[in-house]
Amino acid sequence: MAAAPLSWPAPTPAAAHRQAHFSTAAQQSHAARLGMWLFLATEILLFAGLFVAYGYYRSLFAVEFAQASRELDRVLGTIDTLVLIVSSFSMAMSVHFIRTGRPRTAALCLLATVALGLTFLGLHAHEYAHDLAAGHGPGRFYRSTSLPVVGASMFYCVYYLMTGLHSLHVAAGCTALGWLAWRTFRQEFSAAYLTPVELGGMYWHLVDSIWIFLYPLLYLL
Amino acid sequence: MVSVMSLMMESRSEVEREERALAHAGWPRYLLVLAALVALTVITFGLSYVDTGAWSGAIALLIATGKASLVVLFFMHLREQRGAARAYLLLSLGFVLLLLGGVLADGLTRFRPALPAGDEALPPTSEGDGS
Repeated sequence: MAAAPLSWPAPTPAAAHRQAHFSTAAQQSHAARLGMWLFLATEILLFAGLFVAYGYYRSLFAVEFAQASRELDRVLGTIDTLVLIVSSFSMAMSVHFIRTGRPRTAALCLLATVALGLTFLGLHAHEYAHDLAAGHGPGRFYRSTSLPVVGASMFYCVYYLMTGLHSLHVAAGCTALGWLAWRTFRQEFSAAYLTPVELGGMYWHLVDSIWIFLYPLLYLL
Repeated sequence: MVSVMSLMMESRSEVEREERALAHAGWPRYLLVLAALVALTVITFGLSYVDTGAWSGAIALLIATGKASLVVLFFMHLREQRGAARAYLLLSLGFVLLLLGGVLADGLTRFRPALPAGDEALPPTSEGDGS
């Protein structure tokens, strides 16, 4: 067995990225994925506070919440949703293209994801401008009298907090994915090593999943 | 000692299996998931114009849960992963429901005057500017 070290395979790109405390590259990427799931669990709990606030105030002001929700642009909310769903698809495709050895196409998919994320933020800025012009500001900036004031202003508080925190996440995701697009374009990733893109994608998909719940709660009910 | 070794071997083969499964996830499946997500979005948008009464909230949330499950299982590949990854997600969702259930149970069972008042508490001259 003395000859065993000589029979070790030559370092592959995956092995070049492997830290010494992992015995295989697969084990390392598995651990990275698990760590990302743990981080995403804390993100879910961060949003949980706002979901609970929504549920509590909706139980108090059921009628006012339904009326205020009708003031939002339902069609625009649906377009927001479709934009994020397509961006999740292009994100999944970019991981696929790295795995199949087409990094340039993968970088383009990542750029498309960023572009769709920015489109989402632009649509939201437009919605906020529209809401504020109608006097539906947050908290003490609520000026409208067309709806029962206390309940409707609570709706808009929760609306700004939920969509605001979510938009911050979209902005952070766009930044991270833009950086990953650059690295992908420089061919830093391959089927043997793509953990950063995989984890960036998981973050993006979670942000999409949270919007999937915000959309009916704020725009449809 | 033997059992520890066999456990380590088993978990290693599990990791290798996960890696292989992830490498073989194909794009036609992504396209199908995209089509399903778009279809469900259009359906829930359409249903919001139909009066489904007391069930409208439950239906919309059920559709949202279905959509989010598709994203998590296929785009985030939880389908190919086992063990702790699933436990983290399910535990965090469990705690969200626990928090929501506790807070709602408190709010809904209180003596009515102990709850924050609505517009009936405002003076009749209020212009709604918060003053």
